[in-house]
Amino acid sequence: MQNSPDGAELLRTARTALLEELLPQLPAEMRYTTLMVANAMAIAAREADAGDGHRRHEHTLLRELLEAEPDAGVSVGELNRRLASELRAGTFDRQTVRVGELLLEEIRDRLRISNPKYLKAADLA
Amino acid sequence: MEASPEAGLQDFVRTFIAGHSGADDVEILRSHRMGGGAIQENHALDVRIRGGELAGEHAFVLRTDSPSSLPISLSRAQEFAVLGVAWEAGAPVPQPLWLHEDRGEVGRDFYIMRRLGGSAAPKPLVRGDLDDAARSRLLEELGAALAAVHSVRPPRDELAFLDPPAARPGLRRVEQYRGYLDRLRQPQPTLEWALRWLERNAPASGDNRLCHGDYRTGNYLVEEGRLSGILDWEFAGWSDPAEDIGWFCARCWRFGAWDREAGGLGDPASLLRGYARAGGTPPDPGQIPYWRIMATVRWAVIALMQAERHLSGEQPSLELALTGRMLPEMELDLVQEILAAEQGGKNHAEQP
Repeated sequence: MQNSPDGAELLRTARTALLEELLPQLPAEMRYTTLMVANAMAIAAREADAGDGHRRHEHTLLRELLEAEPDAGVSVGELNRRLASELRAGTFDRQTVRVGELLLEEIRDRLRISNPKYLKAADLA
Repeated sequence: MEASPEAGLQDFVRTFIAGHSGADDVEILRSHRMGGGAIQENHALDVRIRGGELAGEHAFVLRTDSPSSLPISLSRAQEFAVLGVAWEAGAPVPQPLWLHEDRGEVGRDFYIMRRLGGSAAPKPLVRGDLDDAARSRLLEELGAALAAVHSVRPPRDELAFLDPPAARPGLRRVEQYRGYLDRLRQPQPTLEWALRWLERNAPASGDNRLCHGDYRTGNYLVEEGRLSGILDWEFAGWSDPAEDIGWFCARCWRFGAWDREAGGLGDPASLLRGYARAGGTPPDPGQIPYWRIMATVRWAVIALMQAERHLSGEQPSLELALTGRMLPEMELDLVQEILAAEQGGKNHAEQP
């Protein structure tokens, strides 16, 4: 059975209490740290919401890039290691744009969690 | 309280200043720890010197190591030497006065320099306070200051500790950053993709000059809208002068003002105009995108190293942990910059 409210909901509620109830009472020199705590909570909440969708998307993108067999049972970590080493060795020198565009898709997934405003600023939201 | 150098250090510093200035007596009127610098500590010292060549009241800064310093930066003694060379070259820097190389007296090296007026805070410069004309004038002053730094050519005996100049500074950086990546726990495909591009597009050869190595908004002082001094010399070295300009112009140092490419202030042309007026030969503007991309890789590598300090347990810190989560921002910048450069190259190639 799923706990309710879930972790993401608890984080969001706690963050609201931090910013609306605690922050106004705190001395000015605590403001920076408090905002960092609020940011960390927001990231963690978005990450909990996203579940493992990002990981599966990354797996698909990596297999597409490496033209790997779909059900070879290779982990995301292993595919990343392979891709990094092939990029360094120059295997993809003739596909700079294609690789860049596929990398961008995975980067967007991570930015949606860690800083969605940045995506908007870069016209990629 | 951590606000001022501890009492033992203060006593030592009084004797130290007296010894170097031939004073009868030195009194520390006020002292406090200055903001900025996770790697170094800066203490503002207001002193009264009686007797000797510097009799009178002075505003000094004492700069020393903090407990956690990065192995890739210069020591305080080396930084003191670089500052001296930059001062002699006419760059606006705090005049370095005296160096203490520790032999067990206080437990760490320090040096004392004059304290300049102004603030290094980026936000007032980028978001308000200054109008376009004032920002453009400031950029010209920053260009002129950089030309003075870059007028220093290798070799210099006082700077013999610096890595020797590289035939192709871009390729040396690629090798260095790959070395750092190899020491980290996770593979970084986007950074590898960017480093391969930087390897294949490295400028053929470069005339090495003294480079600041961290020339950006946040590392210079501005007083009444005018440049008063360049700070934070711990990453200085011999390199291609265009590297300092690319670092200055990278998106990560525009503090949100993305449309003002040069440091969040304005057009790189203003920076280069000031550079040329001061007698420097400005780098080819066509090289700036290459060095902006290099700058972004460097910032990504630094962010990964900072996150690693948190992850390894060496220095658990929310700020370091959050810096690690900034990585995709730099990766996005890299992909956009490199795709734009590739696109530009193709368009160029298609011209009849």
